[in-house]
Amino acid sequence: MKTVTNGHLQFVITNTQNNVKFQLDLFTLEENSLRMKINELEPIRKRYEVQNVIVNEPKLVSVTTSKLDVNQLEGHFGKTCRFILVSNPFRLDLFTNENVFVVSVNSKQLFNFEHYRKKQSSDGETPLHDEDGMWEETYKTHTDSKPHGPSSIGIDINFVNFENVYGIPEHADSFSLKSTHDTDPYRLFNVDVFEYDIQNPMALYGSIPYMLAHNEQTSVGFFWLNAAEGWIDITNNKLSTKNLFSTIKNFFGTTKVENELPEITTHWMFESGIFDGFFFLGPTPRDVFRQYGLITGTTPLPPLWAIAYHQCRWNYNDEDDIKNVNAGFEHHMIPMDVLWLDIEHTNGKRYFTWDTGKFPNPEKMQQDIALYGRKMVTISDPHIKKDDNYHIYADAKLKQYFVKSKDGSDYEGWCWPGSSMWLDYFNPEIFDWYASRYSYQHYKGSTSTLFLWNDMNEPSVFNGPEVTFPKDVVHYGDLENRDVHNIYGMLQHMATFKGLLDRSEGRERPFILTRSFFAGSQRTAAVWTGDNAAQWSHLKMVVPMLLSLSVTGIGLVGADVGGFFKNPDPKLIVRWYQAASFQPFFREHAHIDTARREPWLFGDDNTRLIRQAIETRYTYLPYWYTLFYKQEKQALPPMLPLWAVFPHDTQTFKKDDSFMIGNSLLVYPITDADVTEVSIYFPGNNTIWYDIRTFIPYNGSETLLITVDMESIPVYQRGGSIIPQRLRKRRSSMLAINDPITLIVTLDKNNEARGELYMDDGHTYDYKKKRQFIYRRFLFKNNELTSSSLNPNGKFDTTAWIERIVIMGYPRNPNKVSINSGEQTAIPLHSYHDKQKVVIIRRPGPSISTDWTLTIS
Amino acid sequence: MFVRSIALILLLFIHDAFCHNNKNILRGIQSSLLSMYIPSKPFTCLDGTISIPFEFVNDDYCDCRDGSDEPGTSACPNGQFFCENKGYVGITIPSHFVGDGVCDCCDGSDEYENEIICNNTCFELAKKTNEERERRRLLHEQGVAKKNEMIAKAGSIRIERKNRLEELEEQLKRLETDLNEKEELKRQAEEPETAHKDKHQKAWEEERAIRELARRDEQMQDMFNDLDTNQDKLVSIKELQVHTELDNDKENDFTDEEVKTILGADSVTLDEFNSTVFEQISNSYQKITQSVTNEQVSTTESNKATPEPSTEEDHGISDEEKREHSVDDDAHDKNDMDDNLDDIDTKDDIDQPTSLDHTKHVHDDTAPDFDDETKKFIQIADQARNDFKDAEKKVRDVKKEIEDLQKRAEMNLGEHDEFSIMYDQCYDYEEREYTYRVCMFKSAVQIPKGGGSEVTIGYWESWGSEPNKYSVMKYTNGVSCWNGPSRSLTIHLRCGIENRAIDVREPTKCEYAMIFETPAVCDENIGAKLSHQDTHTEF
Repeated sequence: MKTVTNGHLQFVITNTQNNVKFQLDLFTLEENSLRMKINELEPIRKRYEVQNVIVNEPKLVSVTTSKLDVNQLEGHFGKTCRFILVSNPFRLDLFTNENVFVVSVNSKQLFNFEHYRKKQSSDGETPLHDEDGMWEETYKTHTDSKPHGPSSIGIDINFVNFENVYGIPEHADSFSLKSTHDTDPYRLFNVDVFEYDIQNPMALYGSIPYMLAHNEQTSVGFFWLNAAEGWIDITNNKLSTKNLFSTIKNFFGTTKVENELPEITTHWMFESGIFDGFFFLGPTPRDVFRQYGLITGTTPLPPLWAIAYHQCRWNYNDEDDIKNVNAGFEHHMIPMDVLWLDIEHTNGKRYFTWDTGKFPNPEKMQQDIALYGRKMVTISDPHIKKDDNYHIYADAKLKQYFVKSKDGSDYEGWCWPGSSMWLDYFNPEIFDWYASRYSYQHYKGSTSTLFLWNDMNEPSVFNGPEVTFPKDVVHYGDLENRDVHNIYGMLQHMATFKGLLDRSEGRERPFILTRSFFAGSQRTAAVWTGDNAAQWSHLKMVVPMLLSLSVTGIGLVGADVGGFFKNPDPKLIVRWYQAASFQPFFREHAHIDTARREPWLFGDDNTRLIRQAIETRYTYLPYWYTLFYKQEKQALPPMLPLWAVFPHDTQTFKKDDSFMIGNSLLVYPITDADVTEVSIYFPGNNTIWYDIRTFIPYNGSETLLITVDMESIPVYQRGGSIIPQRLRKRRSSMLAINDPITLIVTLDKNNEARGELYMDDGHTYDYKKKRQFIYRRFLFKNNELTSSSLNPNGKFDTTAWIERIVIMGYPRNPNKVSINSGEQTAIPLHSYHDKQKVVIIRRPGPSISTDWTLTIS
Repeated sequence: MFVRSIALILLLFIHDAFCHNNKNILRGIQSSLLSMYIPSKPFTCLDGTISIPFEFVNDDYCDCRDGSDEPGTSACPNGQFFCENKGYVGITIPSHFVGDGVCDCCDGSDEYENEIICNNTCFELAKKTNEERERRRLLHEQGVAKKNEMIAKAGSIRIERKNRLEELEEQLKRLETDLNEKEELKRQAEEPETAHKDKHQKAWEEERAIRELARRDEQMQDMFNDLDTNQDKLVSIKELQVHTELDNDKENDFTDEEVKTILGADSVTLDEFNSTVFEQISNSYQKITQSVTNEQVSTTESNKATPEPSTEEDHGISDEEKREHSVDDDAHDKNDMDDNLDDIDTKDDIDQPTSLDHTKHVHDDTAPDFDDETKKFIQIADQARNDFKDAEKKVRDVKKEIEDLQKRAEMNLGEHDEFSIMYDQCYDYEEREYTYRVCMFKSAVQIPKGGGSEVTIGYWESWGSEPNKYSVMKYTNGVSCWNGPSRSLTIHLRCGIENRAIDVREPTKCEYAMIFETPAVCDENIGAKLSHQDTHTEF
């Protein structure tokens, strides 16, 4: 052992079979986190360490070490964390809250590290365990030349005393991950899958090698920073406590020690790279979210309109079509914020160009839409059409900006435009050059109300192996695609983000939607779940998929409303709108072969239902926006599993038919055709839930049958919370920015409640640079509702005021309600509804930005 | 929904007047409703549900579930704001458009509190509207004139059609009489033809039967001689027993018993052989001396899996068999293909050379030509047949024309047949990639400009639905799309001076929409309608 600095320990471990030596670095980090890196001590070729993911070099905290015996080293760090490193056989045990044993690394001794080797060793020595496929692999008609030979790493990470693990997106599978005993392992490899299967561990468009585990006591996370193809096997075990070292055994101290503990063994394998593992030791769910967010970053507050309703289709055909769809929303009085243009808007899928026959005046089109406070989004995919007359291609070709084949020539493949090439974003010069293509000067026809969509960025290569790059394709810096595959898509949307940021000189918040993603994508893009289908089973799959993305840091997530492929029947699309109106990213999108499905095309009754769902979304935007602010600050995803809010409620651990929006709304989307009742679990002992439509209260810790009709979106506000809403109707979110606020106060069993409201201009960085924002805390206690500032440094001019206060669960009709804001005291009118025990206070009146106290007597 | 529940709850609690000072308390109220808003009295929501102090009107808080207390603010999601729009037409807009930064009223009155200043565009708008109205009036007037021409033409078409139909009925009668005559003539000519042909055929068949008999006799004698190896003019059990190919069961040896069953005696004479034995064995019999060659041939053939005629090219025997067969058949018989196949099958089943190698002796005997007399009768009959066919065709053509005319007469071609002259006419619309061609009341196609075959995007289906039935044409059941529905075209008709397609789009894949201008939909009452509108305009 060598102490490099306090908090950084270094060891050498040896493969006893072949004497290959490895360096092990242990970093004790702030916020109950620990990082362990293992790399070859003297590799014949430098192994790739992933760049572009970690936001800041993690801060070390001091560690106090002591030798337990000749074989075991103990280290204390942070307030309550410790590790035990066992030298032979190598193993690492982790403890949180002093004595809670949570993670054990390599206790199943599956650690396997294929060091780089020469194909034929010069001394004639036969390489150890040489197998077929080590130096060349064939898949269908594709051959992977594997010039550097075998390089994989595998290790077992064991979650002790846990029965549920989550995360490692992207898979169309349950939220609580399944045992892979009878299936393939969960695979991490960014690919464009045509009509993907659900309930399947197969790889999809993006990868985040990050897993969380949760039980009644603790939450922990494990993140392996590796961008190569990965496979993860999951086994539910019983851990016999008899085999544990006596020192460890003691750590179960206060809890009853049984002979067996549940344990989940996860066996991780990556094709190349190094072992670079982060362990987040919680102990609460919020802690784990924050700990991961510190390393990989959080989603910066999106523009307000980005969390409103988006209308997309492959394709809106021309300027008239856009005009008519916009007019349709006006005519049917359905709020909408963004109109999207898919690939057909370009001149032959040459991105940054327009099909001028169909879009002769794109600036005017965008300006006309902007009159309604609305934005537009165009698509820009990473494949560049091979055409010397296409300026992007010609420039990039001249500058040698394309990804290379193994033989050094430009890699060429097929995608939408036919023969295409792909930009090498790994080169900072190319990254910047690509970003600058989004400047108004270079992207002709773009305006400040135009934003971007990066699709097909796995990348999708129609004639490539598994419809993507061959593994032996070469990127800048002699990087093999094998090592970096899973971050290619992220680099594209990061460059797009930079482009949009630069075009406004850092003033306006960009918006980008991406299909491919990696850990860290949350910093620059929203993510959607790709090409789903118009089937009830796909609607049902949305919640687990979005939860998996949310807990692994991707906050702005959604699925195509109605399903991308095929035509939804009216019931399915209505239910889908209702579900999506309570999911973070809310966009209708459809395949070019499907029938038109703008909200008014399913009959008057369904138009009304869809309008209601979208309107409901808009009423909750102040709450959503506040949650996204908290996501930026605290890495707390807006969409949460029930256990993140009720960590001790074991009934919630496997729930993925329902979810939370923030800590105050419980959402149970209806995902079956023709149901008249649904069985809903209301979490939390001693918790009351109020139906947001009927105000009827329900008790927590119970599963209840709730009667539903086509109007129903079962959503409940938690007793003890205060939610700000805008109940006025507007055409788009940005036109409502100064509208008054209604506070919905739902009392808990102690007649208390609290909530927050964040507000700013909705689109610039002034909230950061000039502290132009309002952040309020509302607290109801002892018959007083107070509004106070959570951050007095923030100032924001707004005419918004408190229009109405609704208090649910108030036991009696108040005699008098008065409100004091500074010197003034007013007596607003109020009403009381006996049956529902609701007080409604009419026009309390104070400005959003002032401190006030409302007293009920 | 939410606000509605709140409004309901508020109903229970209305007392002390809320002091509210609003200079523009009557903002956004339609003049016809002003009598409902009297500042000295409580206001009753227009749906009659509740009464509220008048101070609650336009106080920026929604009290009425119908939104009628807030016509001038955005407080109610379902209120109505009235823009006076002096100089133009007063209109009602949703009250949530008030103060949203979008200028919805031409007088800008919906944005009274907003920083953005809406220009008063009412005057320009009125001017533009008048111009537009004038343009429309003119267009429709001119269009109606054309339309009347079209209707008039439809009348003459109708008369022409009627005349033509009468003419055709007459013609049909004549032609049908002629057809009957021609049929009789044909019958008369075919009688002697058939008789002569039959006679010729019969003679030939007799001749052939004689030849056949001689051939059989020759074969029989050959076989007898072959079998009678000791040349004692008798075929004995021993002599026949060597021909194991005649053993039917093939399971055991070819026993004396079995041989005797065939011969019917210990030995047979030529006559006995002829009458009882030959028929039994002629199909299976093989000449001993040729057995080796036959085996070789058989090997070659068994390698050929399919009984294709070509496989017989290298197989002389089968070739001959085929030739012999064709001889046996009527030269004109087109069914011989089947027979051939049967033969080949049979041969394949046996999979061995057979006694048919005797056919080497068969003469090459095709049927002789008809004699001159017969030929003459055939020629006469051919002529009669042709005449009959011609007459038949004429009848058919006339019937078809009658049918077409009747179909067209029954076709709904507009209220006054105004679409009549468009029947069967085709119109093109040139787009960048395609030419779209619609042939009215028939079908529509998409023709790629860069070459390639045209695609039918729909066949005439029907008019649209009431009340504007004749403003929409539907063409459906076109070529199916990959992964999609059958192509279809909807034509939206608009008043225009000429018949022409002015736009084609594909709003949904494979569902096309055309805009087509035609005088046929110009409105003769447009003047009245437009001036009716005038009376409602507040200038």
